[in-house]
Amino acid sequence: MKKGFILTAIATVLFVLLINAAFQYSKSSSAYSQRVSEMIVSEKIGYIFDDITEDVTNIAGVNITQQQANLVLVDTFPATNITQNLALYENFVRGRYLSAELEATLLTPDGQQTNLTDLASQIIVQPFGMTYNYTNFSKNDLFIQIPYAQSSAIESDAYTYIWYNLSVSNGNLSDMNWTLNQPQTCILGTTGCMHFEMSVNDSSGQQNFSSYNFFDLTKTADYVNISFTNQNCWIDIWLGNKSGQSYLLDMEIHGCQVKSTIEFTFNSSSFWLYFPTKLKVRDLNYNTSKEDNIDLIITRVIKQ
Amino acid sequence: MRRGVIFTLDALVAVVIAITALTVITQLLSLRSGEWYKEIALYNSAQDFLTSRDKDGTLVGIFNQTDTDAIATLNTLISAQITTNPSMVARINVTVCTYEGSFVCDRNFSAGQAGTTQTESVVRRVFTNDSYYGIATMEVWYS
Repeated sequence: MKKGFILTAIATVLFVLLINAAFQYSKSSSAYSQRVSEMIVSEKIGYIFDDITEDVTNIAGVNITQQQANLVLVDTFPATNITQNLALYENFVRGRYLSAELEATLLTPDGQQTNLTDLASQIIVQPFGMTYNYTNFSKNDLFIQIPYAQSSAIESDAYTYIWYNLSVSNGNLSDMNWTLNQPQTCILGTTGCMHFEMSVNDSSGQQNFSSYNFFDLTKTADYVNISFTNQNCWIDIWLGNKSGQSYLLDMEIHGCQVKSTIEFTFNSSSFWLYFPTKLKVRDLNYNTSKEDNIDLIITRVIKQ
Repeated sequence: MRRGVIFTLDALVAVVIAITALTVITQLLSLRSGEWYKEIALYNSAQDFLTSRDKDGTLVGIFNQTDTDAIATLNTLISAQITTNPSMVARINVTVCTYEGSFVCDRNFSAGQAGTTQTESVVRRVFTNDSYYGIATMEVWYS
């Protein structure tokens, strides 16, 4: 009797322990499933963020390549319908791509809701604080600036220089007139002194090189006017200080079709480019989101 | 006689407890090492495929291909990238739209395998060349 009672008690305790173990397991399994689901949701949000960012970079029409510390920006001027294409893309993404539980929002740098048609026409190159921007996405001009204190991040010596190449598809080059304010007076290696090469290709395959190769960010800008035979087309370029602003390039295009290739060599290969407009992708069910600047997609080339 | 009944009942209780314990352990093992990891692997495969095809221009290239050529291209790539894992099977559905006052999506085709199972992963990707807009939907599952 006593023995039976003890055995029954042991069996009961074991059974209760088993039930408890099953319950604990159920709880842990449920928490585990929740963690896995959250992991997949986070991954999904990052993936959608990358998907939209990739397309926005393509629509903006700037091709960016990095080879070690070299940054090459290829662009076309003027551009057609970028703002309209951004608007259509946004409609398509909202109407056809995003599922009901997902939400994508564009935000200005100060957090105000906006849309892709108001995408800032400016690219920021960090950590150098360099800006590459246009008045708008019609792309009739281009302004490249860098804070004076950061300008030494651009490698500029006897062998390393900023390279500006302009290929103009409508017209033969007739003139490349320079107005020089501070020609070749800066000393390489001093902050703000830039070594550059400029080449212009015209539609006949002719290539002209700049006769001057230096400018100083602090001094009155050197000016070059590039004009073309039998075309109502010319390009104005300023290099240096214009109206109190320092420009690595201030280019204004008047009626020309231009493909620009601009290459910088920095003192570091660690840099990134983005539009200051932010994108926020959110999963409504999990209330998980990713909010960040719209990074531009960079093609990285491995140096041979 | 009475003692025999008690022993039989005791043995039955032991068997019930043993079966319950075994079931719990089996469930535990199958859930921990099974479905979730498999699902993540499927999801990652689908995502990797679409990301790489978007970045290498294959998806945008579809706009300029016939359905037959696009299907052949995608079948080759699925074989090379997804079904190298012999237990995985994939299908991709592509919808192409144009804007004519509103979006008109009148081109659809699929590449890869037919059929599906309960454990599958579905990932989508949007792509455009400014004239056409496409959505690729990738389903990956275990054969």
